[in-house]
Amino acid sequence: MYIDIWQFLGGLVHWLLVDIIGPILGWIGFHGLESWLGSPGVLNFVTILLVALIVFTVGMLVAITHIWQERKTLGRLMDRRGTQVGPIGLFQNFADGLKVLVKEAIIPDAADPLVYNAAPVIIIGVSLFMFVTIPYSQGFYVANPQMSVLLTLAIFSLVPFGVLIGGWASNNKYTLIGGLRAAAQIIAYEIPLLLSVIGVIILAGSLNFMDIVAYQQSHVWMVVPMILGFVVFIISMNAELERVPFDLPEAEAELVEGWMTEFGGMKFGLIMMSEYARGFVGASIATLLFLGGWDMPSFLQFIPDELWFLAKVFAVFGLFIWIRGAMPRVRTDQILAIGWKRLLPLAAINIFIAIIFKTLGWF
Amino acid sequence: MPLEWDLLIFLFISAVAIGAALAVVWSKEVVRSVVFLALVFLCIGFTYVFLNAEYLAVVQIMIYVGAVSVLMLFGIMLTKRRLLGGDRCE
Repeated sequence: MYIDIWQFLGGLVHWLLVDIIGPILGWIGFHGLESWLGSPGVLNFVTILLVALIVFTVGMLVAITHIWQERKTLGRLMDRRGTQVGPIGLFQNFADGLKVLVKEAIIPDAADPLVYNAAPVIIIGVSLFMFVTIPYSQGFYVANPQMSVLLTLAIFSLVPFGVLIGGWASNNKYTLIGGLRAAAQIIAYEIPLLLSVIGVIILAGSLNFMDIVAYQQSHVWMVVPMILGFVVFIISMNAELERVPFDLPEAEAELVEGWMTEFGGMKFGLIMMSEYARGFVGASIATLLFLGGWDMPSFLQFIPDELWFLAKVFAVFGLFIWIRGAMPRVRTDQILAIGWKRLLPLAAINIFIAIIFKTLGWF
Repeated sequence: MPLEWDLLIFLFISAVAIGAALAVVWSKEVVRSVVFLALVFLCIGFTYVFLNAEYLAVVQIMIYVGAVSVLMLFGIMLTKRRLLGGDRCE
């Protein structure tokens, strides 16, 4: 059971523009406007806008809930209670957002104003752009291109650029070091990430999220044959998201806050928000590629696909939080060695396993 | 005559690409040049979409914007330079 958001909103827009607003305009006398509003181009455009708006809102709400989940779970792991505002602390993030919103927007005196202002735009825009290709179910998506996996990972690779110029433009040595570390780490861990995805693509024979999920529904969840790839993917995704075992770029004790030290007000708020938006995208890629997407046991068919998908995403993000609570930070000199000497060979072995399974026709 | 949206968007993207290419040459600051260079790469990636070469477009964005321009930024930032608005070498 799934919601076909395109059909639903298309019908809603048609009803609103053709059956309600159209006759009112015709009654007033604007017949040209009435026929223009009823034309398929306008209906299509309004439907696309509404779908994009709804998927964007759902993504942002899930990202905010991820922040709440992280603060609450980390609090419990550390034997405290976590957020307190509202019922079970749900409104804390909205309160923080309001607080950040009323702060003054400051540009440091020595900063390069053009690049300093462009960096948050690049980072936030890139992070939110990735919502476009993530399908929640067969009917709940914005775009479904033929190569959605490749497109999502390509957009993922644009983040270090924004981080690097953001760290440089603040004109502060901590931000510069943080930006360099962040970019080096993200670029290094992107290669094992992509290689671990290749195994799944070989087995499923498609670059499309829908086809990969359909393959897993008819065969087996990818986590079973590709367990090595799943482990490599989760570790590299943690490094991509700059989360705790790999949070050298923003090491609080040595680099203040890393590359985002000089960003204040809503710029900082949105950068933090976009980090969790990327966390949501990373968790949902792991869900779609390895954990079967919206696949479910057949006796639980009455629960909508979207809820199944979101439940798995929250479980994967819970794994990220658990790792954050349990692990100490990796040392600076070890971080690139782990990526290049450990994860890269493991990802290569995973590709060989995938090729062997594909040749033998096991999965 | 109906408006040709494809042509309009193509012309806009081409104009941005040419303007950014000029900005690459005319910027005084090297890092700004790289930022505009990334914009040129991005616009070229978009023009591949108009040629019905989506795979090439995605790979262009992935490699040129995601890797090559970052590599150039690394090269610039790891060389000796003056801090903005000061004489002190870092």
